[in-house]
Amino acid sequence: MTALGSEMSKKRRSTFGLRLGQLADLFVIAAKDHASTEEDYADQDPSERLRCFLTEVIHSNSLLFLVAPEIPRNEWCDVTLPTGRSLQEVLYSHKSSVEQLQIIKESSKRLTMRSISEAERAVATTIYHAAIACCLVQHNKKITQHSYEKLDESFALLMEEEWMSDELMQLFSQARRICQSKRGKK
Amino acid sequence: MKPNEYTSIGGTAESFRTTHWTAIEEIGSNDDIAGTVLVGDLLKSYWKPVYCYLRHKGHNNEQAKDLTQGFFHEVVLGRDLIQRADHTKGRFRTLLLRALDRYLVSVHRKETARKRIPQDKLISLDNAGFHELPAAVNDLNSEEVFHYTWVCEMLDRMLEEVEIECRQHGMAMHWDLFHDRVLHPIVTCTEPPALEKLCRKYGIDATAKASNMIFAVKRRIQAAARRWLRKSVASEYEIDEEMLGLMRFLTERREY
Repeated sequence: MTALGSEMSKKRRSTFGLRLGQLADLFVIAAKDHASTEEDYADQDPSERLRCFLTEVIHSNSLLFLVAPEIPRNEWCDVTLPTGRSLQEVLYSHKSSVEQLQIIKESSKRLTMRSISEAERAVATTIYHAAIACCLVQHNKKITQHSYEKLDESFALLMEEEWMSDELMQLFSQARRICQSKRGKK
Repeated sequence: MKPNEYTSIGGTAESFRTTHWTAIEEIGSNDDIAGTVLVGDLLKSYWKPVYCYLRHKGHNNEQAKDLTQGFFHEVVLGRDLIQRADHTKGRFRTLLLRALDRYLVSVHRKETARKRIPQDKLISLDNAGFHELPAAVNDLNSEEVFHYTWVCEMLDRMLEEVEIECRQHGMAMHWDLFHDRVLHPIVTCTEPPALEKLCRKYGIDATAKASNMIFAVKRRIQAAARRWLRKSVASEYEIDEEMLGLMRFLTERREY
């Protein structure tokens, strides 16, 4: 047994043998949004929300997927959101296509409009800029109408957030260098 | 097209390529070796519900294990199930249950289960781990025992998957918090410890942060549940129906 397996087995036992009421209490966690006290605090920590958003494997129930159909996709109608990988894997990979990053950018833009809390909006804004930054770094392509100057400012502001992850700091830093060099050429 | 069954970006339909429905279709179109592998996968997911159903029907441990092997070998691998499968009609496990009933009738008519079991078993059930049904199913009928066991199997796999996921993504403390605050109290029927106490235990500076960490695990469990259910239904829409159906089953009988 691996160390991980050993650690796990100490903590948990099978649900087989539990009463139906206990199974229902467990199942309700999986079945719907949570109306527990935990939810009251869910928006207060952008770092946690960001971490959750970045590391969750993208699947058809992901928030990004839920808003993706709203995007008018005249240019990339055959492009799919990359499932089976986490968002951070997509954002930090050179294999992610421009079109995939465009969908992530547009989806997160819609999430910012839907957000009901500051934390949600902050995370969606971060993902939006991360997709743009990734495209600049990996493809040397700007997928927004914002100027390089404006993008540089936005990346800089995001890097000042204390809840920003190290990986995104690095991505934004690389993107800023590209923005600054492009501005210099003009 | 039903609600949420969107396919315009290749999302939902894409994810239904490898379900239990498609597995049995592929058993029919593949060679024997590939078919055996696919049946083995199905057997891993469904042997416990089938076994418990048989135990509840009165078969002893050995008979139930043999019949389980025989059912998957003869009916599923033998392609009888494929001919009857119509994924527009009901859940996969309902199809399996009906096929199992027919199989039991045919076994009874022909010969003893022992003689019918192939020598090369799909997977060994010899160390399956349990021989008696738990007291929790005493008041359930055989079909309900099948569903009960299937839910337990789903919850066990799902919780294991999320725990591994958490530990691999540097969220071990998230999982431990969830375990202490939510999972353990439900399983042991005890009061959940106060968040303040858990914060002290894990060195977390604010209860809001602890709540948020628990919430992150719950979200992963939701996602894992949908991934699991997706295997046994034909569309995203049916996942929600399945969730509701299972919830109804558990809550309507929760006095037991």
